[in-house]
Amino acid sequence: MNTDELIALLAHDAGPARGPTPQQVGGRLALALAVCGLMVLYMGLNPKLSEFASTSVFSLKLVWLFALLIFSAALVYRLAQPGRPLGNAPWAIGLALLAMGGQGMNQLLQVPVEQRSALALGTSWQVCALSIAFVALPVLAALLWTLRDMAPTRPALTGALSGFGAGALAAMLYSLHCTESSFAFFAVWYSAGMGLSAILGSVLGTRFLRW
Amino acid sequence: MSDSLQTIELELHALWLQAQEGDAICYARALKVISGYLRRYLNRRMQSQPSDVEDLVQETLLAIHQKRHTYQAEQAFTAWMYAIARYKWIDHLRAHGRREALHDDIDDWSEILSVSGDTEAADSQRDLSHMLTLLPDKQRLAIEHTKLQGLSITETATLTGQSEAAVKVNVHRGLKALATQWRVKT
Repeated sequence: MNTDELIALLAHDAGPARGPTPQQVGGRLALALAVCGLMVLYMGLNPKLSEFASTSVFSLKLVWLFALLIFSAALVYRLAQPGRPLGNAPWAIGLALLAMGGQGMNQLLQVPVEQRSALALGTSWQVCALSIAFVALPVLAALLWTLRDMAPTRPALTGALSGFGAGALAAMLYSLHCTESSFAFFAVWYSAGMGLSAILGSVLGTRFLRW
Repeated sequence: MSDSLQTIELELHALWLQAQEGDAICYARALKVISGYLRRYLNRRMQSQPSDVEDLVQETLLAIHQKRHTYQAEQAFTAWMYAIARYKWIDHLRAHGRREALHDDIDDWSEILSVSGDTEAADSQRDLSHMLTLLPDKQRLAIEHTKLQGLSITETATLTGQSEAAVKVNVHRGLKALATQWRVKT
């Protein structure tokens, strides 16, 4: 087909295009969150949750995860539209991770050497990262589904940040189950969980976000 | 190049917003103008595959049409448009391998092709091959091998029996001659 014919054809279709509506996106995310919630309930809530919830470690962790969630959401929103600068959010994510890493390091340095591994490994290091990445799956799926209707020009990065954000959200829910309370543990294993989810997101992104 | 990004932006932004109100004539005009810029953008980047340019222009136009809900009025239109063009170009490179890497950069060529880019949509290739026949054989072969078929200077030298230096000189002279003819014609 000649380009001018194509243009004539497309011109018939003038007017605003329909993207995914906020209701659709909200619906998908709500559904995904409900599934994540069920997954955490299935793992079982922390029996001492009310005690945990009143500690400053717990609220600091939630603030940290919420900040990571907001920064990655802002990035994914920008990456979904061609030609948008990324702004400062990548730095913010890096700083937040560094801050938690610094806290963890600080905590480790303050205890005797023989207690350090107990502090960093806790009792659940084998399952923590994998659980978080697992709980993140429904949210990641909902995000990728929505992003297919958008126009991400950097599919791998978009997928990775979707995975990371989904991981942060999953980690917040996972906190209802988790019985760990050291910054060193969060800095290593929560970050690893979000990282796993980001890697998966990047792999899926290169495959499913092409348009 | 005569158009700065700012003038392109001024021209397109208003036209695009008007088109999005549902004005089909405006939309056709906007797409026509956009296709010119896309052609110029892609020509400059796909010097070894000029036959693919028009396909990619059309693919990009289609993408712009289908993804137009991702453009918001407060954003620079050119940033949005060129980001899509760039994405489509890179996607194309990935799919067809990086033959570009084999090339010496000769800027004259992009000038010629980008001038052609704004004028006519469909026939640019035929005109070019016609004009090539007017060149002396040495120059024509050097250009056809290096620029149209995407061979390296060394490969061209072996094929045509010219020395590498001669190939470079012939490409350069040939392109100059083409540029002059083009100016006479348009």
